Amino acid sequence: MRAYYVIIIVLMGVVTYATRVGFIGVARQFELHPLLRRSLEYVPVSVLAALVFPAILAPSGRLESPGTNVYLWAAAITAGIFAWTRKPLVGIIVGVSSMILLRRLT
Amino acid sequence: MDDANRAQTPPAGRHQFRLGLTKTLPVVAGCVPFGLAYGVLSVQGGLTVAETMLMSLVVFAGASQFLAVGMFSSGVDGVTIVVSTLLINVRHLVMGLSLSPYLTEVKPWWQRMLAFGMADETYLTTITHYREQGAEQGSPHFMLGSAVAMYVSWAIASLVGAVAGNSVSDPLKWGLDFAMPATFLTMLLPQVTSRRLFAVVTSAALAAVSAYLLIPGKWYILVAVLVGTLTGLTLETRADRIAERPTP
Repeated sequence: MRAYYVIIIVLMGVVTYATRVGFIGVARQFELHPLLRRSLEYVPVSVLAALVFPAILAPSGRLESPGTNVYLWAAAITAGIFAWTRKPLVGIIVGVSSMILLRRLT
Repeated sequence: MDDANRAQTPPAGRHQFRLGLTKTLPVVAGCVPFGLAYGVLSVQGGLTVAETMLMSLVVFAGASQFLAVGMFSSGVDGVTIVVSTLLINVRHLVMGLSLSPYLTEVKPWWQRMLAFGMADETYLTTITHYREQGAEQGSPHFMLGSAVAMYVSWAIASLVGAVAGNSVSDPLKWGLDFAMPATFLTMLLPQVTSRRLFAVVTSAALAAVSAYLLIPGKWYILVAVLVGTLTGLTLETRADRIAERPTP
């Protein structure tokens, strides 16, 4: 391992850990304002929406037309199979398999 | 300490740890292609297998690792790499904040240890579990189990990718990059249980896509959180006001 790379990687680790540990103990030390507590309720779904929709609607960094966007089709298949079977893993496996097939066909 | 927490004696802790492991498995399956791709791209970009692994073990943050590998291979200076890493990971602050009410009874050393394992995936699995449970406090053992599952599989996937390195192509090109959004989609759908949450998700999605197209980096996640939260709060306040209005 080259020293320069090790130093940069360790510093990357330090700043990343700082962002993770920064606020995790806030509620232990301070009483959170009720408004803040209520707003935190919406954080997980918003993060999920942010991780799902850009990846599906703009997979290559640009908005793609729904007709040719295989990610959108595969997402519809995933959602449909999941709604039908109620099993996340089945939805994911069928969705990803359909994605690989669609990639081959298009 | 309340009764639910007092019951967190070793057996209950072990149960929650195991539950954390198993509940994270679908997400793990989704992240494996990314770990492989990271390993492949890192070695192709000029990092050694050991350096590639060091980054997975010390940084443990997918997006910033991909970015760093790209920057290393194009000769970007170290300060820029570290600052970019910080900026891309600022979103963790909000995630930590939203977890913190569930961890108020947990000792600070526990919090500091759990923080290390808080990636997007472990955060989402853990907070979803805490909310499903409906208790005031979350089990730290659950989050630990989730983090261990993610950490170990991220390390193994990086290693396999790095060792296969120069002999394979990027596995994400086959369509395996869809595994992650597919996993998050199955986590998102069951949480849309009311019109208000539907509005929150729609507004967060619109904000995320717009910000994703317009702003480089991972800021779109924070933009989505801001817009989603404001939408939720506004609708909540309006519903409260309508409920308080005296019926004629």
